[in-house]
Amino acid sequence: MKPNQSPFLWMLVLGVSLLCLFIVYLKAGAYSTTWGQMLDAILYPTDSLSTTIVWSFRLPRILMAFLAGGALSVAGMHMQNLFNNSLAGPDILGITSGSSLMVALWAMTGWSLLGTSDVILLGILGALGMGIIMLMFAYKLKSFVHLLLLGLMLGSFISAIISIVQASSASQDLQRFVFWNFGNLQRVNLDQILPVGIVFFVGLTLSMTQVRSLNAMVLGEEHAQSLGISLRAFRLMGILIAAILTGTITAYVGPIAFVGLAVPNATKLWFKTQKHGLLLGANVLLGALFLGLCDLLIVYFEPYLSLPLNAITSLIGVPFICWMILKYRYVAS
Amino acid sequence: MLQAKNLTIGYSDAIAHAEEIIIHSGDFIALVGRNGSGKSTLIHSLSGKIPPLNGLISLDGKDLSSYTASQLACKIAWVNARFLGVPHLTVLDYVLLGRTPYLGWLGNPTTQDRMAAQKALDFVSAGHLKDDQTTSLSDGERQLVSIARALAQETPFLFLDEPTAFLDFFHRKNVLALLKEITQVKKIGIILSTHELDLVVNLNLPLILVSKGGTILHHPSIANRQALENLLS
Repeated sequence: MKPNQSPFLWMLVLGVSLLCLFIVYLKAGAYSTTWGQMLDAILYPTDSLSTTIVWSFRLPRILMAFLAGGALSVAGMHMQNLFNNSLAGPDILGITSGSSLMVALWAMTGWSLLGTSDVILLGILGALGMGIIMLMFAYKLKSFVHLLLLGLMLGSFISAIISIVQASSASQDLQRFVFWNFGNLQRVNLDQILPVGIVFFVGLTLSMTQVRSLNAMVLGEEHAQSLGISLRAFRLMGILIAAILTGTITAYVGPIAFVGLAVPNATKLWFKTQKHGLLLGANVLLGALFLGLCDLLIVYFEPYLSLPLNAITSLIGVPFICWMILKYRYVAS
Repeated sequence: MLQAKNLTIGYSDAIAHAEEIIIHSGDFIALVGRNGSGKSTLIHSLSGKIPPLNGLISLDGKDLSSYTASQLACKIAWVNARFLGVPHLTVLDYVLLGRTPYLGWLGNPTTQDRMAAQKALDFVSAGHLKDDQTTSLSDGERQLVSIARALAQETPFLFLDEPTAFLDFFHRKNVLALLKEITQVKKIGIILSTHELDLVVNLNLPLILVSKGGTILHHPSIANRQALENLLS
């Protein structure tokens, strides 16, 4: 059965897969627990080692992987719709770099925008700043290829600033930043899940208010406008949603590459629809599943090899995007 | 009734000027002028997409700028020749997008919306295409379903920007006959910008002329192509 004929069945399949992954993940890892021990640790937390392992390490980590995967995919969906191009994404248009810059400055020099030390807020502000810059460029430039190049240029520019900051910072701060820059779920703790969960929920709720506009936008801006979509409000909302989701995840987990680019495309190709209510839900599930699986891979390799999350998402994401460009030639559109 | 008085249009510099433009429901008016004379700009201005540089446009007695985007979309529909289809978008879903101004945030069409879309498709004799992909249609079919999309919007006015540009002679005639039927049966007021002077002459369409000097004028239908050409140059 094809996903575009019975989308809800496939959503259910995705949901069940996510649940299975969750269970497998809780049991996976260097310290082996039996199924019984794991269940005990979840239902009746004590101060045993297995409780600590499950509650302090495995549970927050997989939950954060789910939240991050879902959030970045939704952010990517908004950006692809906003710029009317399949190659848009939070990382490729410099949104992620904006967050990175703010977090890097704060982590290594102590300087921060508005004097805040709230890392979520810093991530969001950085993402929002870059989002608005890209939006202004998009007004000036007719060609998406030019916009893409500008995004990459700005990304490099920001990397240069970050490396200057890196070169002149204390080794302890530097180490912390390098780990963060790899994309890192290892250091997530349970206290971080709540704020990220709230932002995720807010982003998702705001997204739902945009479904009608997202649907109309596939016809292009002029058509959407003639169908009663207020372009200014829509653009601002799209950038705002993409920025709060990307900024928050980047602040906590690091700059994760290619999830926001690859997952929304995979979702569209799989479900073969332009109904964004459905795509929104599918992106959350598929994004969560994708990043969860990536992290499971890291967990399995942990005894032998330390795999940075960013490397895994790129190793899978890049071939997929290359295949997509070669097969569908979306770039030109 | 859509009315413009003492109108100057353009993006930042003035392109053209009109003393008065009046469009009633049921009108079928051809907008003619040379390339770059400001036909598209006039259509965008009259449909509220770009504000006029000077003058007043009113729709049903109210200033056009006082309408919200959604309200305006219930009054004026717009079709151009540049819709090339969207991957994974079926014809029915495309026509249903015409219902956008009537939908809630979640964009879920009701049975009533579906019926309006189906009726619009049937009106343009494209009901059989409803499950086809918009990317697999011929140019002629794509123009028909675009008109159906605009009809599903159920507006009293319909503006078309060179809708026959990529069509062969047979389809051009077809589309124009369909538009004429729409003005007569549905009492929709249509402005159609076009370069097909022969068809304009043959159909005896009343005109809005945009001259090279940037003057926009209502003009009664002209029965002679050469006379029309002379007016435009």
